[in-house]
Amino acid sequence: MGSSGASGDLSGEMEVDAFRRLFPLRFYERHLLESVRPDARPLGRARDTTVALGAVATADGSAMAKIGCTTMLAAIKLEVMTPPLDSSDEGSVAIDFHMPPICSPIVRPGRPAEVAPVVSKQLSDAIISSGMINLKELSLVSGKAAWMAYLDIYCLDADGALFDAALLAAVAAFSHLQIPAVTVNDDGRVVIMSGENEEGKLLKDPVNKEKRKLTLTCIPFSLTCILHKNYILADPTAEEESVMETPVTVVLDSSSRLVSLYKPGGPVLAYMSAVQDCVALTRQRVKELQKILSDAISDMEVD
Amino acid sequence: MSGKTATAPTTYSPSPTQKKRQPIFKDVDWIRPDGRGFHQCRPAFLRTGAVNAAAGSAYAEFGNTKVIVSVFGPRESKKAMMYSDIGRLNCNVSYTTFATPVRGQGSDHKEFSSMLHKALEGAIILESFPKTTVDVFALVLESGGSDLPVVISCASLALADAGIMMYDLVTSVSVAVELCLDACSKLGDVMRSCLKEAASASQE
Repeated sequence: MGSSGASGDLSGEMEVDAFRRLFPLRFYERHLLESVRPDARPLGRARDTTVALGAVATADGSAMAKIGCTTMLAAIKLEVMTPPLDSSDEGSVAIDFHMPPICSPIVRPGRPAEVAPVVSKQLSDAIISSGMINLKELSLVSGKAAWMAYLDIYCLDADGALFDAALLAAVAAFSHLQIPAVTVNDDGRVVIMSGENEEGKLLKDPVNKEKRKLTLTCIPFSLTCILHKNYILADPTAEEESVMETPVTVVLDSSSRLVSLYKPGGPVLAYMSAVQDCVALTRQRVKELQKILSDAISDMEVD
Repeated sequence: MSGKTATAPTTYSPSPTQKKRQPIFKDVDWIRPDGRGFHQCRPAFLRTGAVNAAAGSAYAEFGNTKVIVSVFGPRESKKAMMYSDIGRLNCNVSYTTFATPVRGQGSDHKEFSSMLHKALEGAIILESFPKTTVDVFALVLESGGSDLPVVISCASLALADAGIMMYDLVTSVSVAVELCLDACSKLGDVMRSCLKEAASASQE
């Protein structure tokens, strides 16, 4: 800054905070000129990401994902349903994204956040169209019983890039999911087998004798970027999202095939080159996320 | 997947139904299932600063009961509210769908929000923030019993983390039969040491 005494430095600091509040766009543009962001990240780098599996003990599969300060808690509970006639050997997945009032000052108890149903729909589209889950693995007795997996994702702290963190938490929860061993009892209901030998008709399918995991192929990973004039900022914080309003979300699967591209309007109309740059940034990010997820899974298995 | 049908399919949980609860006070030498003494609380884990987006927040874990509380404010009251020369307190308690063993049972506790309000309003110095509202939101992540006391204790810790002026911290313990006040004072000591730790950590 300048060479001033202690009181001069203090007033210099307060001016920065006030400038950030009053003229946020100019504050960010001063940083972008130097190719850096206020939290000292280069433009293409995402925030520190961590994944922890098994966060919820009462759920059949769960995970907590943190990207910077954005925290998501995903849990899967399995219940038994009667499959519909046209897909009698398939189970089903119901995905729901919640933003409880604790996560952000803009959410009120009576009025849910505007972005919550948008992210919820994006999530179910991305997970189902990526083909990560083979629904036939969720079947129990063809035509009579199948698993319904209720995936609930709660945002515990909202600081930008909600979709990325939610997708990461959902994918991690599915890789942690263990289907319990079940039998059909005399009333025709499916019940969980307890440890001791109980009388009951065992299902003919040997797969259900013990706990098993789903096989996941083509796992989707995503990155949200913000476009502003000629700059592309990867993984925005909530402040950046509110100041620069053109997000682009790219979802790629583990073999770098495009699952979904989402650009909901915004003041910047992007040329093909900008979109290709976003996809390239996402490709890099997919490699990082794959490593983080496989480290988390192997940590679980060591325990 | 539920694209076609408008109504969700009915599902049931495959967990075995609860066995009939045996009467527990039959035996004079009865011990609690987790081996605790009659006047003993579960070991507590308390941490402030759980949520970055909130003015103050706290996370509490008492055995299997896990709760996060965020405090926002003091911030502008809703336009419909009339002028008030003391502050307002707004509380809300909600459950996650996976908090209870049976999915979706948390909505049975709608009265917790007003009970939390009654517990906290006596301790907060409402005159220190006239015309504005302090919002206290709680989310129960896992319900392992004694939920409301954990929410109240965690909420007063979050209010202290937010810097809201209070006469004192509010602690809460639920008891089944006898009245026990020293459990509350022990809990108060634990909470004060947690706040001291958080304050000294931020000074470093």
